[in-house]
Amino acid sequence: MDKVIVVDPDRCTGCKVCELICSLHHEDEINPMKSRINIMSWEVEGIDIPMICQQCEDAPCQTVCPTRAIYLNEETGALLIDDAKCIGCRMCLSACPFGAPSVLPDTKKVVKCDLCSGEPQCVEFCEPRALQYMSAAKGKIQKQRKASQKLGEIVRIMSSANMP
Amino acid sequence: MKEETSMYGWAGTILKVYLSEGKIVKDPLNPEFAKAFLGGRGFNSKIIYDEFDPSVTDPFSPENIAAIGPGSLCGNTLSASRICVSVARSPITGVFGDANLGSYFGGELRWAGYDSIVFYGKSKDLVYLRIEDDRVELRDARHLKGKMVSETDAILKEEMNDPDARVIAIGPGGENRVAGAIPLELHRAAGACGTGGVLGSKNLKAVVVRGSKGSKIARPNELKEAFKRVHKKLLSGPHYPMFSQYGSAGLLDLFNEGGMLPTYNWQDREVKGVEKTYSTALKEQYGKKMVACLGCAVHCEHYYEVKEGPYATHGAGAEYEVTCGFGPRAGGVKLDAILYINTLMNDLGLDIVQVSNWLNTIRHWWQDGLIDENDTDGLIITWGDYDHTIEALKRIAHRKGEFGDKLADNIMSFAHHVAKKKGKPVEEYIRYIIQIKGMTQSSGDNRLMGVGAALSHGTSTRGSDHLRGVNTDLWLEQEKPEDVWGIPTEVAKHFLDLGLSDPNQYEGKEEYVAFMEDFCAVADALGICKRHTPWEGMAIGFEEMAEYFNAVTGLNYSWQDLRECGTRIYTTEKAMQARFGLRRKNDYPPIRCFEEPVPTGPSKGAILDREKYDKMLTSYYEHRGWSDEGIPKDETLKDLGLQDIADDLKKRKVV
Repeated sequence: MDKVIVVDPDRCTGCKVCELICSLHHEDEINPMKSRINIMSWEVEGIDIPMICQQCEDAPCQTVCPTRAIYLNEETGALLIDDAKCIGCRMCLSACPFGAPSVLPDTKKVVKCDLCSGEPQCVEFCEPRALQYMSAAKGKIQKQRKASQKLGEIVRIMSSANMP
Repeated sequence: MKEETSMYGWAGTILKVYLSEGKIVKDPLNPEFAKAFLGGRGFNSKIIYDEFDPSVTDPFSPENIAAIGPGSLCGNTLSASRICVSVARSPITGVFGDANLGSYFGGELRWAGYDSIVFYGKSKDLVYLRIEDDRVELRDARHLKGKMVSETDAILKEEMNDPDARVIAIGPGGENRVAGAIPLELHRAAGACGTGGVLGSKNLKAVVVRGSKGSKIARPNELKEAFKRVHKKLLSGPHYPMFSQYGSAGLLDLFNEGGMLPTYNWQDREVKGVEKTYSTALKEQYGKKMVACLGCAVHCEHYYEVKEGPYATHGAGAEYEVTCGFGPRAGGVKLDAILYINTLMNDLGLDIVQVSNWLNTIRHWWQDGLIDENDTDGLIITWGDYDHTIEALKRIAHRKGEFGDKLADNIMSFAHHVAKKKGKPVEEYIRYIIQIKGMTQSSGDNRLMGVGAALSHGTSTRGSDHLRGVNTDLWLEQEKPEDVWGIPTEVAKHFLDLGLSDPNQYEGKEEYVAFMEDFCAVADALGICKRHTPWEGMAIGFEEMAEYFNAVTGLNYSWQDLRECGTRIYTTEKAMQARFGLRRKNDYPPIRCFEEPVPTGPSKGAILDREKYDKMLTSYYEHRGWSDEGIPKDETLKDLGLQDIADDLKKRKVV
């Protein structure tokens, strides 16, 4: 499985539907502190950035875990945590450049994004499509297309003005 | 027994803050009270009815009570972000009033472990309330005195050491007890009834909250399923594209095409020599992206940027009210200046609807020679003016000069002040003001949105308002009951059978109005944003709210059970207003709607018929089980479980 969650912060409205859905889906409660995804907002500037687990190829969390509790699900490409092996040391959180692991206050153990076994709920509920689930290759092309639009406008203006 | 008292959805505690003593009490939420009044506006209204002494008449008295009540689904579901801010005495109407804001604060308060906050008394010095889970305390806010809403927000988040803390604050407007002052969460405004001045009179600058406990759901799988179904329905509504991409500012073009856009203080339908497609221009020239409240897929607010020029600004929430109130209703459409004003007023903590109407009334008086610069400290407030208007806003917020100070007390008393100066009868000035119970009007024109909307405005328990009941009868203009979004099919069928799809039919309209009033009371008690509901022709109706409510709380309410709570809440408010002396004569739309036909456009000649309105109002009172003066009858109150209110009214001889 080649799909990843592709994030476009320009589309994020800061609504946090993803946080509410994630915590409900995994923990049966509504609690952003237990959500695997969190939105970082600078409201006054109109900036909202979804922060997710990047499911790294060479994952620092997996490397640093003393009990080797973190392992790869080949089907989804997600890195999972074996709760039985987790000792709640939080080294994964220290090692992660993105702050992806969540510490559950009740168990003091760590949980992380598991891509909802291949049907990520945050993506399902993100109406603005700030989160999309697609191959990384497709995500790249989509971003190139978006960035090229401004140039495309200029090309259209120049050709309609009959410039060489 | 633990099982009986442990509740899902509700956090289980109401914070009672006694500002005079500097004391905070954590009051356990009575489950029977919760089940009867639901939350949010429901809690606020009943608490204020029970605890406020109606012999106190001054809205700025320490005896006034203010409550901040997030709907009970805030922090529990999608589409629920709304907080109701209620006061026993409003500085604008002089009677009970409330306001509603979309927020992130509501969810955060729930996750901290509280259902609502009630404020009593007055603090000796300026303070703010700091809530961090179990830790609740009043702190010195003297360093925040005079600060704008956005400055206050930034400083308190810094002091909390947490950029994700949430703040509701008043600006200089509230501190200076301007009648049209309001509290906000940044740009999300609790507009109506001037609750900001009441908080200012209590020396309460702000409330900041951070909550980490989350909220447990009684039947989580049921809620997951409900979300999937309802979310899909919401997104497929015919009006979803407009609101999600253009916000309510999208209504400018829609109303303009239908000849419904009020201009020049409701005199006309066209602004001369101005570009017609406002909604698109706003989005294309200044809109950066859409932003939302907590849990909302409609995201109806623009984040905007005016990059250069004298009106350079940035902010969010430029909705229909500001783009119309400082646009066509003010006789001009200078979009960059309007956006500048939006950010400024949110920062000063002033109500855009109220203050835009105050200034537009002055423009109208000016047009007819009833006021001039001798009465406005030299400011020329005429059609299409922006620069003197902006100066006027600052003077109102700071009560600067005689004009700023007098106008700050509300347009009604300002009318008396000017009439006296000019030696003219005050009625000549008052009739220009589009107001009901002293509160000026927002949104649509009572002559054009349907007679049900007109009745809703008239009977609204907080003064002129489009959010209390029917926003417009036009949502009923369907062939088939299934096409009426958000209303149970059997009810829609009944309304269509009565002929209520005709916006100008008076007979039977009271049934639609009462239904929507009860509906809005429930939406405000649960915290559901009305833009998601049949109030705005959208999908989330009683049935969907019941699905959410039952899955969260573990209860099994039918939608009719929910409606009954709405009736209970609405009737409590009506009894409260009756106790304050309001009667039938206070339930009428503005005089001009009965006397001035619309002069131009597709709706030329539209006007309200006084005789028909009288009959409809009488039918409405009968339908409600109230007296001909609009006072809830004994049996009606008893049937709703409001025996205590029945006894209280009898004791006070309000019958």
